[in-house]
Amino acid sequence: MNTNFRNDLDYVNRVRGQMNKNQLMLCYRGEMSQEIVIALLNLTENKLNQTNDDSTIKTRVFSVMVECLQNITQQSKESIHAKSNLFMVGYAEHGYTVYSGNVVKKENVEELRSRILEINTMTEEELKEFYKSLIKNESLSGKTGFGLGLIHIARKTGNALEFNFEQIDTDHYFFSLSTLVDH
Amino acid sequence: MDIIKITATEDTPNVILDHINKVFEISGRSLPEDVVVFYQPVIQWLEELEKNPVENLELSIKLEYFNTASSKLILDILLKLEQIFEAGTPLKVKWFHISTDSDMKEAGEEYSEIVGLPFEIIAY
Amino acid sequence: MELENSFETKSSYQKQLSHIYSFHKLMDENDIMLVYCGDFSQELNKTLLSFTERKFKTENVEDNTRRKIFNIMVEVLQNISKNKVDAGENIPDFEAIFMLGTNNNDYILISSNLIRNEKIAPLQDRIEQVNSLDKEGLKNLYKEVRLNASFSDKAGAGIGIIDIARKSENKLEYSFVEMNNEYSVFSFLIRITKQ
Repeated sequence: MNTNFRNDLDYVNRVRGQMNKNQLMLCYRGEMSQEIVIALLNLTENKLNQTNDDSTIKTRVFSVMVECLQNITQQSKESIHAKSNLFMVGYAEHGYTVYSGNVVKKENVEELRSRILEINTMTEEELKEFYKSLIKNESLSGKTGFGLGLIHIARKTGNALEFNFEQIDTDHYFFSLSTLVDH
Repeated sequence: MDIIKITATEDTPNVILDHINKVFEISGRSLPEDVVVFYQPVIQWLEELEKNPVENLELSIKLEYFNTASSKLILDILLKLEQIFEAGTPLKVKWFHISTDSDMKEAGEEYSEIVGLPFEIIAY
Repeated sequence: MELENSFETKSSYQKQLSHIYSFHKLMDENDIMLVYCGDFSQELNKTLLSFTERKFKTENVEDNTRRKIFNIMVEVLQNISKNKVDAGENIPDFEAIFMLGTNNNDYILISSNLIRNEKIAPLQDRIEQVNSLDKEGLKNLYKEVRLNASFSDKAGAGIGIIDIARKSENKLEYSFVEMNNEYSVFSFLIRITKQ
């Protein structure tokens, strides 16, 4: 990491290039906390309210954001990788794409990966049943893992959850999640 | 019995549990970081309610939004009410949703499927 | 890659999202915290400002610094809004962008937006002028321009730049890149040294 900002304003062009290529509108990288989650919600909500999108899409974007970002908040507490949390919103053909990224421990990768794959293969009915059974499970009171949240996202959007794990060091991976919120 | 009055914030709902004025309502947005801590007074109140049931209590739930952590607590609240109902006290849940919010309507319908309580789903 | 087995790599659900990680690394290169690309209206600016205010408050950024960043940000965002290109034939396809970052020594604000070519000269002159002045010089210039303020566009643009220079206490970096005979892209980089 550079300690001095590169004088080269071409960096701006590189960022803009990536923003355009990926149809991105807003990106935040850094610590996540309840305060920041709320601030990001307000920011996104205000931005989306300036469009004429139907309110269901907006509420769903909001909903996906909350689940992802609150999960990241929990995961990145006291983490040295707290600065690597990522949240982005981009334009999609009939709606928006919500991206989130954060560093996870290697030992948690497999479970997370299989949970997402499992959710992606479920039908609407199966997701509903899974949700109902999870929510009744006593052990969920309090610290929720990302289980209920992921199911909720899958149900609300009706889209597959896209994800990726990039190894960053021997013990850590960068987990990216992409959710399409559209009609 | 205590009266519970919690004023809404950006991430927590308005809660009124007032057996004297017969107002029982949870409204606004629910996305607190620690749902257990937030809803603890409500759960406690419900436990007191079990010992001192209020006849024909109508709980209004009028939420704009709630996160999945809250959804679990909402279920806990409804299950507690179900216990009281099954023990013989008539009561009912009024689930409100903005007319254009089909997600919230569906959420209410789902709770009514899981919990054995009289449920009224109201669009506004 | 021992955790990937053939089933998973063939899974159609695990699309190539490596671009998210790449973008993250790009932001990391210069410790960028926030990037917004799109429309800059009064409303939107307010929203970006409250976000930043809130974010810096939770990080216990020193009051004085926070105020500086905020004030400079107001000017920068207003500049983008003022240069908003509404209608016309020759408008290049270019969305304005705003970035906010921090690194070990400085807070950095960057804007990049379209500007009409005729606005370049006075703006460039002003930036060069403020860059050549010291603290005392800037104070005097500010007073002078304030006193002579007519409500013409030129004077208006001038005060903002002086104000930014005074608050940032660093040289202002900029570039103009011509897009066509009517428009150029104005990129602006402001540094605020951490106290």
